[in-house]
Amino acid sequence: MIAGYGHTKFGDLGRVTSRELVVAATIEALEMTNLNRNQIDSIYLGMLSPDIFEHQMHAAPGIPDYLGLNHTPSTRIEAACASGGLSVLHGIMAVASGFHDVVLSVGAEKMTNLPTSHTTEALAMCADDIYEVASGITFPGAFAMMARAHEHKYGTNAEMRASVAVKNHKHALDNELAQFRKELTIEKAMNSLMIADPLTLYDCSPITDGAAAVIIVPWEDRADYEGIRVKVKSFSQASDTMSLHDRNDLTGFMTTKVAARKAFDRASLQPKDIDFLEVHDCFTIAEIMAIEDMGFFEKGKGGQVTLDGETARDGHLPVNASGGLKAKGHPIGATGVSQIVEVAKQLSGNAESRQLNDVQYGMTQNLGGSGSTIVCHILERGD
Amino acid sequence: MSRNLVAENWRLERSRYLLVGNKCTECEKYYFPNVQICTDCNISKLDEYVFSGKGKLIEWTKIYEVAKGFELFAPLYYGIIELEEGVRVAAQITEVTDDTKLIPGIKTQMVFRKLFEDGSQGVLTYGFKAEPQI
Repeated sequence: MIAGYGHTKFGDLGRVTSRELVVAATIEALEMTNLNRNQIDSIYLGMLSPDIFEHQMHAAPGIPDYLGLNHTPSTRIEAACASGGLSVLHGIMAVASGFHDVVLSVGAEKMTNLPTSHTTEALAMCADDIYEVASGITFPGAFAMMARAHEHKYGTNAEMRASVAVKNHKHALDNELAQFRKELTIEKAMNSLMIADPLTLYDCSPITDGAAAVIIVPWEDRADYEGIRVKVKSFSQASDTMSLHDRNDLTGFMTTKVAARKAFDRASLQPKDIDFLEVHDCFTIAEIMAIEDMGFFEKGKGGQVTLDGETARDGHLPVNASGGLKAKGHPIGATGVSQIVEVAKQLSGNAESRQLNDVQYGMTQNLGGSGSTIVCHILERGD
Repeated sequence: MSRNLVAENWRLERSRYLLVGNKCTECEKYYFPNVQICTDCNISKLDEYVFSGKGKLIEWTKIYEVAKGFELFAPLYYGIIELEEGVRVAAQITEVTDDTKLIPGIKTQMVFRKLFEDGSQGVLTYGFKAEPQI
């Protein structure tokens, strides 16, 4: 179960290192519990690229070092933008196996050190370097082709895509840790700078610094721990081809379908049982495809239901009540952990002004590359 | 990030310059880039195969914010192409005069072009781009 969480402000945080962000999020998570840092058995660090962003390889031992925990095992997990979700998954597996009792899964990224062109290049390295990157692909370009394919097949237009951004910006108004806290209109989103046709600036998530952490302990021992009680109902992971062009269908991700199905099966739940979602809206079209591929809406209807308000905080299936990657921000390694933190906040009644009413199950979907890695989690409100 | 493009281009010369992949000797499935194992029949007997470069457009985009090294071509057309052998590849689309004619399904031909520049002093990387046959 999740016993505690921590979450730094997301944004351009200036003079701070990823180590400091990790320590800040970790101390906050520990303070929710009756644990002290010496009781952490193992650390899983989700981080895309301390090497490129901060010129630091072998970042994992730096975390116990800066926490004053020398000799505690620490492992960095890199799975592109799914690094954070995968660090949580491995933390859960370590506890579920019975090998560890107290695990820290923490994700962070310090992205604003570099000029934007360097950051874009670093992110593009998550695509197939030899045949995609060398021919000039960018991630906005890859998702733009998917947006076009979705539009051709299902009529998902610019207004529908913009409605994802507008909704998530509105949600972020109630999240004081979010990077962007300003309302956005459909017109402004649709008329912003073209990045890769048809995706505009407001279809894309930003460059962000930040960290998020969770403390994972065994559910059976819950009486021993103070803090929150959010049960891990299931987790899943799926992989697909490195290159987008090697897949037959550009209108969704088979990995999302496979991972979501596994997560539902392992939890003995169905989409109708889930009360709210945190999904990977790195681009607006990605959220539309996610809510379809996970089985919550009929394929092709994701854009229309978003435009109709069904996925807003007051809709029947709130999606990205935190503001999502789009408005909360997307510090790569932290993102997947931040999704878990948001679900834990909602399920423990700690989401303050954005608290969803009467929620029992929350689900996450964290995506790496052009959907080459997907990680899903289903969490349940504890007693 | 630094990359050794002299070595990379030498290593990838056959696929990147000549569109060489391979074909399963058992089920005749084509692969590009070449593979060690046929994923359909799990055998490792594959013959080298030179693709004709003829294909059709599956989907495309126009990238305005291009990656580093591609500034020369900005904004650039980029697409997914299905070669006539059934294999899909990604490539820049070149010689586009009217993008309203870039309709998925149109015929394309792979042509040899400069792909990107590694700064003003660096190595030039060449490879294939797709030319619409309209």
